[in-house]
Amino acid sequence: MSFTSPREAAAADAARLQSKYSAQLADLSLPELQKAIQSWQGDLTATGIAPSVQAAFAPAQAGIEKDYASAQRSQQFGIEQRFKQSGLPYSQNQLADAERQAATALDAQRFQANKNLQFAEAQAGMQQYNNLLNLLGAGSGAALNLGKGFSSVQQAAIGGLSNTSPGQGALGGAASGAAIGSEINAPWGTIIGGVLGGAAGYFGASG
Amino acid sequence: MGNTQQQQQYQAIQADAARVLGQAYGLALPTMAGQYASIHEALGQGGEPDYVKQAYGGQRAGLMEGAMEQGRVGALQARQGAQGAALGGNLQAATLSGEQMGSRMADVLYGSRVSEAMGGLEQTNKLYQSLLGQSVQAGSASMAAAGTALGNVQNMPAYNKTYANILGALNVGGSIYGGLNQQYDPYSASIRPGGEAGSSNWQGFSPWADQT
Repeated sequence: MSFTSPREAAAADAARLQSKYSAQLADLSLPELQKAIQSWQGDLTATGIAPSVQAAFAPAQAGIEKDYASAQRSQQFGIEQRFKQSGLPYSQNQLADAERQAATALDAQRFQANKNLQFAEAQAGMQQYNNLLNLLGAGSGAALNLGKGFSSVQQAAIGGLSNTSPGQGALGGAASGAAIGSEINAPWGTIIGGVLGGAAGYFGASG
Repeated sequence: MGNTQQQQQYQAIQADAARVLGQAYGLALPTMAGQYASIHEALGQGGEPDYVKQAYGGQRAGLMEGAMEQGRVGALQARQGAQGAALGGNLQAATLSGEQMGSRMADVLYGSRVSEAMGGLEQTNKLYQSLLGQSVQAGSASMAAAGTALGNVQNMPAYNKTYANILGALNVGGSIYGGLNQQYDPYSASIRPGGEAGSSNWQGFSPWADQT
């Protein structure tokens, strides 16, 4: 015959299951939050552009140089074609001069493009700095909220614990048992009641 | 406590809920772990996946081709101009000189490069946000599960089962003793006020008395 009620058994099973999932979720959440915060802290630099912004703009910088080199070749080809297809007589010096002028103009444009890119990178860096500060604030806020929430759970769990130690329970139980035993039959009732009451008090307090 | 049928229904509902919540957590936990892995993988690539890089590359090839085409038409214009051919307005407007072609090409490619850089950065920030959101979601779910576990424990009796069993045994013993004592008073009426010796059917019998 079992002395465990259906409610007690179901509640114990459910509590174990929920505790298991709670631990699994916390094991997933907290290390990832820690990794994310470390990543943001690594990206946050007060004196320069964030590494994530530099990483995003570095290919653009390299790409622009490549694009201008390619544009210059196409430009030369276009100028030559235009000279050749014009049907008019021209000297190589005229062609070279036209190409040089076009290349100089393109180089000035390339210089300006690089300046514009640096400006865009600086602006993005400032935005990223603010963004990272916000993320760090939100991340630490999330960690604090979790700590606060689990503090409440811990507090509630402590509130449910027995307020009596096993030793206190045994002494109290023995005294009560002895008193009851005395009413029934002294002195043997006192002794038997004390022993039984002490055992009951001990187990009761330890639960 | 309700009747047996009601108890059975409660047990069935409880079992179903336990099964479904197990399935739900079993689905959510690996999905979240997989999502974290994807986010980290994407961040490892600098926020911009390879296929987006390829897409931008394709876009630039198209822009370059367009600028060169305009340059070729420019060359045609030069030839036709030299031959005195009349040019249509559309052709005039659509043509570029060699100088303009190079400048235009570099210009449109610059726009694409900056757009790609900003897009990559934006994606990195979205991944950062996802990391935060995912962690907050998992943490909140963890806290909610801990709260539910606590609620379940509060559904359990506040006393120790062993203690309850011992008390129960004492009560049973006390009831038997009390019952027998009511039937047979081993003490005389003079020392137990209100008692009336010899009123019981069990008169003369005591389980503790020497029966020999």
